[in-house]
Amino acid sequence: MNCDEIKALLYEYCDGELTGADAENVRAHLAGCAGCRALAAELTGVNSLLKTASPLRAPDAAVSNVLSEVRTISARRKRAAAGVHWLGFALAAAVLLIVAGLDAAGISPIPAEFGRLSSAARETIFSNIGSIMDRAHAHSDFFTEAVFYAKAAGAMLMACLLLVAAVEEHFARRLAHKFHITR
Amino acid sequence: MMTDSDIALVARAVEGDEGAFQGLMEAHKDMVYSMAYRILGNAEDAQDAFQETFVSAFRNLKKFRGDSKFSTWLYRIALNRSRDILSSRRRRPQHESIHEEGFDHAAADSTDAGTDVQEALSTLPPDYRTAITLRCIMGYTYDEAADMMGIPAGTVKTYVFRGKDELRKVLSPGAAIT
Repeated sequence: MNCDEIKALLYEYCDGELTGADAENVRAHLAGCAGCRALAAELTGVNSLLKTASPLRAPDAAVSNVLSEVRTISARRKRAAAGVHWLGFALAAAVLLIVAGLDAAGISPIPAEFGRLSSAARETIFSNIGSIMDRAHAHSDFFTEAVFYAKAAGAMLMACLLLVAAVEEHFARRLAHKFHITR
Repeated sequence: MMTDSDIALVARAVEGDEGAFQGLMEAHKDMVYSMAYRILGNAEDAQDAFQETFVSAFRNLKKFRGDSKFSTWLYRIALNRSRDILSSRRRRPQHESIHEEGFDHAAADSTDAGTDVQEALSTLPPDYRTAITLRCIMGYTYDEAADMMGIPAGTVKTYVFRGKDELRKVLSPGAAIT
């Protein structure tokens, strides 16, 4: 093997990663080549230097900053989780009130409009309400909270729209009955 | 795989136990800081990378599935944060020169040899420095380092060898063979 071929193997040899015939060839070449021996000595020196690199100590100020930020995030998550509980109860109460009000007014608690909604729309409503319940037990950061509140607002809007549709249906029926219109 | 203590601490930290997260931080803080410092070459940037790493880890702890060691997951975050800082530094013209990257003698190792290591590493291109830090200083295998850097193991090996060659020239200015 010539010097160029040896140099290609020398890094692995100096790292102790070369075995078998290749290692033997390098060893034999080094015994007779002062230039490659000098190169091997320099690479060994580099390896020795790198081994002196001990772990550095993380600055206390940086550690304190992280812990402070972690406490802030935790507190925000706890507040958000508490808010989610409150919102879940408020929504449940609102739905109950709507159903009770409709029932008292003689309107079917489940409006006919709901039956006419596409299955996808109904699934969306149930999925939004379901996600509110799921989120009531979860922690989250700002982004997921924003998504949650958007979904909650969407679910409440849908509930309001259903209420309006039911009231409209009720009055339409009364008018139709009064004027003997067949619907 | 994770150590038993890491597994327990991660599980508790995911449930919101700040003390458990503090325990994880205590176990890995010096390695994360060292890695950032070796790659970035100055204390200020290393502290930024350190803080961003742990805050990001806390935010995303639920995403850690335990498929790898917790330390590997954490150091991968540290590597990415360090690379982000290197990229933003490249966009700042005043930091283009290797020497202006800001080798911080005061914050380097307490020993003369340690200082020499950091000073020598600071002369290398970032990819060589990262590969040598992961492989030769932190002791990762070529495959692990490749996984963390997102490049083939053969490329990591090339970076390590070329980096060592650069270091050899820096440390032995009168080297006969180049």
